[in-house]
Amino acid sequence: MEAEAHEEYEAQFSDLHDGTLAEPARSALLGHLETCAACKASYAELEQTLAALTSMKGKPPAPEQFTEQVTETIHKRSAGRFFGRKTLGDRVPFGVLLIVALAVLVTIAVVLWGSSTGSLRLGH
Amino acid sequence: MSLRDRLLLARLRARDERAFRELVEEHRDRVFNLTYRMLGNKAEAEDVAQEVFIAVFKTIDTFREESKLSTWIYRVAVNHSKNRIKYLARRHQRDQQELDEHNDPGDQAVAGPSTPRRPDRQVEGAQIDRLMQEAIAELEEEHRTLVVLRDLEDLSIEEICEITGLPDGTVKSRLHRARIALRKKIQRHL
Repeated sequence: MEAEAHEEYEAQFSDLHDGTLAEPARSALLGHLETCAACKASYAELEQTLAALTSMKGKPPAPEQFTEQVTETIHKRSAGRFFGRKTLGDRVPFGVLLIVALAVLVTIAVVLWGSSTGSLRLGH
Repeated sequence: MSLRDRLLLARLRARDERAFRELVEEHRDRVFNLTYRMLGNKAEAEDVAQEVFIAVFKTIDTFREESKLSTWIYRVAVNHSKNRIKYLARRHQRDQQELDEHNDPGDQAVAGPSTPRRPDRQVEGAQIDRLMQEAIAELEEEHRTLVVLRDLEDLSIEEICEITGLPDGTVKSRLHRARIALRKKIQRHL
């Protein structure tokens, strides 16, 4: 009979820890813990276990490149279906595009300036 | 669901890559943490966490907005973790069978468990984390799920009910049994 009473009290330990044990059950359990060394020790062990879990919260964080990797995986697997195909500007860095554009302009300018007949020069 | 979630959801349904990145950035640590605590292995956890976000993105149209977006993502993460646990258990069983078929009975002592742990050993810091992780991994799958969701991810009982599909009372009683089981496993080390 006494063992059953202990079990009943022990079944309320989680609710007591979570703060969800309503009165008068809460006061009865707290009163029991004051007088029962075995239940008091048992509850202390549970508290210790849950405190050890607290130290693990939020650890470890996701790897740094996680977002890049998962986005890339979607691109690869869906062949552009989900996000839409990447534009040229997304695939090639802006700096490279700028250099290529300048090179093309310079080439055109040189060709125009060096035209022997002058027929390619602007203004003719 | 919050207005912010609704706006994000609309952009996700429009297949907006930036919205997807925002979603991943916001939830990646918690999803990875959950899969890691469920699986106990970083490489597997990373792989499963990736699959979770891919599944979320692929099935975003089926999200019925009856719960928070984060709760739904957790449900996907829990289901993927459980599936991976089952797959790994099957693979381990198959590998073990193959090993048994190829090994002489005399070899079994070599392949036995690692050095037994001294019960009186005092452990601290990172060692406690490792022992806790081992103890969590030894829990039954359902107990592990409940301890991870409640005591590591700080989800409410209501959210856990939505994720697991279990009624309130069942979640509470099973969570209690899971905590008691965990206490038994680790108490001798603390």
